[in-house]
Amino acid sequence: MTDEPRFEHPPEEAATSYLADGYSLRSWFLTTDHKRIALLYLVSITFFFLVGAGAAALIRLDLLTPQGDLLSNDGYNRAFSIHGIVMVWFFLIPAIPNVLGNFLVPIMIGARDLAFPRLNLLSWYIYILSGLLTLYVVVGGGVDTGWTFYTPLSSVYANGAVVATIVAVFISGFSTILTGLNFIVTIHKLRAPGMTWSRLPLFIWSHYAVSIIFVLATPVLAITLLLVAAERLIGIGVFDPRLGGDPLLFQHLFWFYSHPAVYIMVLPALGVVSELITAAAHKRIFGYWFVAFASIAIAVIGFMVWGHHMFVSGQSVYASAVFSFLSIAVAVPSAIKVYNWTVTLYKADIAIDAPLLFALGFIGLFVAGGLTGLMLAMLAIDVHVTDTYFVVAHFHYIMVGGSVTAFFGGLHFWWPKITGRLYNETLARIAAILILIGFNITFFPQFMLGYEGMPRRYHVYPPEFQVLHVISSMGAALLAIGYAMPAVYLIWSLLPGGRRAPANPWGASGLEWTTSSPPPQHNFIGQPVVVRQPYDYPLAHPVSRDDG
Amino acid sequence: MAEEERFAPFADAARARDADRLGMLIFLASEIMLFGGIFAAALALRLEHGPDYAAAAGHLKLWLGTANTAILLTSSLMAALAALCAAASGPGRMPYSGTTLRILPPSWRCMALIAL
Repeated sequence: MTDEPRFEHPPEEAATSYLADGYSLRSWFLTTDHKRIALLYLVSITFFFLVGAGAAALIRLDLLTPQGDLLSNDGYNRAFSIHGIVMVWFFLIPAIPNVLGNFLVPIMIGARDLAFPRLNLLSWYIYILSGLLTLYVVVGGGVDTGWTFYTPLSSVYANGAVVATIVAVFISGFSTILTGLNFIVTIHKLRAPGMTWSRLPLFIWSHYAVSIIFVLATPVLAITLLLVAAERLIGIGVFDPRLGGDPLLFQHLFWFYSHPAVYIMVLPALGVVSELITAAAHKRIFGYWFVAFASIAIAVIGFMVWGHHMFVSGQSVYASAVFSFLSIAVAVPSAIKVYNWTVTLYKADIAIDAPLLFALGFIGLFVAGGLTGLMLAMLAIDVHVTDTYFVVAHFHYIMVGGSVTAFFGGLHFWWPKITGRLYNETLARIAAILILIGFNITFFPQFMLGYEGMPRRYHVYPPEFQVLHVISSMGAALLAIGYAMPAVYLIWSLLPGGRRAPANPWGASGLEWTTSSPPPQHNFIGQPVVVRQPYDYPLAHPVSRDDG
Repeated sequence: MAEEERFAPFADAARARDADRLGMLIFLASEIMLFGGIFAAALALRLEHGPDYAAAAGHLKLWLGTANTAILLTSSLMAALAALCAAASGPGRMPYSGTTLRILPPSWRCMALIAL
């Protein structure tokens, strides 16, 4: 059964890798190669991750003492606003789609590039433009509205560079819309011969789902923020009651985007983990169609749950009941994925490498974040813990514990493919475990803080909360070391003399592992033709990592 | 330029055209969501706060709105006509060269004829 070749495509010839195809600045900044654009994104989101992490460090240091000795009240507001805005729009949302997705979507479906290569480069420049504007906000005054820009705070009372921030987020929205458009058209029109919809890797399915949200939800946020700016600048009354507006309208419009935005952050992560789990288990994923359509179901239901952010806003109790039911319903496709990953691992011949450790960490943290999400979807519990650290802990479990862990797992898994180098596996395993431990020490105490009544966005708090805050801050230090480690050994692997990666270091299935590491300029020599199902383990010609 | 490079990353012109069309439809869908946000806001304010909405509408200037609408519609018309003419004439060709509108540049001549 395993004698036939997995993919019929012309034999490898010596081809220039995409990295060796020009070394000038021009060959990078004017490139239309999706692989190079992915690397441009990798460098830029890493920079914004450092900005956001710096703000987080200030927050955790300030919370060490109940009086908030480090920052002023206003300074604290600015720190958590910048942390939220930078981390959500400039790191988490672009992280997996624009780095791993940009690199892998064309390769995984056997295409030579995205459908609109120049549009892809344009979306990076738009991202950089909005990023520069955000940096201007950070240095020139800051913003104190929180990442949610609630009116009338943002439109009337807030000081600082609110309009500049809004314009920055507005512009960055077009970067993600163009990326989503590019992915949808690519997946529809550029699949290799034989790459039917039932043969798509699950990474592609989740990117398809996330692209739908990009295209349909991001414009609503863009226009909503523009209305806030219009009200603030020229007094058009949309959200200000004194001008005939309705402040709650903002919350409806904002969460119509921003709840799907949570799924923007986590859906690509689910796709990454599906790839990591199958590659480590060397097994076909259990229930391919269930996992694939769970992504679509999460994307679709995600558009109808925004009201669960507004249970205490005075909205109709019947509306709240419906939103509560729909929010609980999202748990079904999410749980399907978790069960199917678990069953895939059951009785498998598992290779415990760093990517799998990240994936397992993801599953644990995603389950914890998801179950507390169920608690928050229930009306009675939500009223008790609204705007407390319980909510903060919940969404950090999903967005950091989930998305960032999956991003690191994916980066480790595809690093040999992206760079052609192997990193130090021992250090990578230590980092994966350190991140898991550090994360839990940081954020688990915040569940306890929130349940006991510590409100979010306060930096002066009763002394009885100090112990848990100090534990959380110490965990954050450990987490920071965990996140810094990959930066060291991944860059180390790039130095001259680093170990070269073979084409398929994990013995994984998928088109990206049939081409050389790093891939040639047009991804494949000739047009690959797909003749087998996805995840068709055992492979015909598995290559162990030691062969490299 | 080699033949297969012309439509890269697509294999041929038909597929590239298909993809362009799909891309444009998706872009339009996202534009509908963009302006849908404004319409939803206007609708919500109208339904929830009818009297305030009516009072605010009294401050609007009718001539400004009319002029704005006229300009918008004219610009849409011009864009649509330009697209029609571009499709009809193609690069280097002079359409409708036998008409009395000879003094106009070809693109204007075409648009004037269709509009008339």
